[in-house]
Amino acid sequence: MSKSVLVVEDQAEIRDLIRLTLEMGGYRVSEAADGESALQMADKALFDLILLDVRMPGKMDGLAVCEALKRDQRHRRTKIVMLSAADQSTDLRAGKTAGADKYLTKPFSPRQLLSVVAATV
Amino acid sequence: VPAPSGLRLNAPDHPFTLPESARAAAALLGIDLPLLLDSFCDRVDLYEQVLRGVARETVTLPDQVRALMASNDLDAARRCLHTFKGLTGTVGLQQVSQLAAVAEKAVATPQSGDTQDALWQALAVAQPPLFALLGNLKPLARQQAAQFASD
Repeated sequence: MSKSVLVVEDQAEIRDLIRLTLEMGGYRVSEAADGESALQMADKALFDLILLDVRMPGKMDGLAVCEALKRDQRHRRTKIVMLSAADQSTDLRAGKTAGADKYLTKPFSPRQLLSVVAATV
Repeated sequence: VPAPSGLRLNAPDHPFTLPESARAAAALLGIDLPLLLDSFCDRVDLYEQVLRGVARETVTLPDQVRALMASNDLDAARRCLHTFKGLTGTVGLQQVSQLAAVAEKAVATPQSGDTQDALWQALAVAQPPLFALLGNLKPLARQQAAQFASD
């Protein structure tokens, strides 16, 4: 069975690119546009991997979502890859502290995305 | 970056030849098209789809940002520029992406207007080869999408 990935990204264009790329790679893709929606979806289903944008508008940014997921034992097998712009290096340290498994800097190519996802799940 | 194993994306069973006109249009934009398409796993259809979104944004973004600045919604203006920076970087428009990054950082500063003007000027220069590139890639993208759909 193909691996499931939840993409959490507020920018619709980037979310579309990620979804199309992952679907081409044979993954089952679900999408959320903000942190609250992501947690609601993760409450109803378990994912093999969650791609999580660090900076999102709303009450919860990606770091808060990552911390919440890592606290929840149901998601102990779920891998989390954080996404953030290359010029926001402080996000990298914060992501690791929040418990992220890997980090991918934007802009990234589909090949980079698939390589990171394949190496993580 | 090595190709992920087991993923049929650089499909050798679907070879394609890039039109010289597409390479030339891309070169005017500072894009090494074969190299960039390699980073898209040679999926011209995917690249063309993202590029189409960017081309649309080059037309709508200036008015959108101007309106947000006029209504003093600086966060929204910053977000628009941030998204555009990422998208243009992804499709290989490095100069435009860098100008968008400068404009994004300058949103709440006195340099805001100048940095945005520089970006809009660069967009005006980029649009003719950008739309030419899109037109040149479209038949190939359609052909490839149909091939993958029938596999």
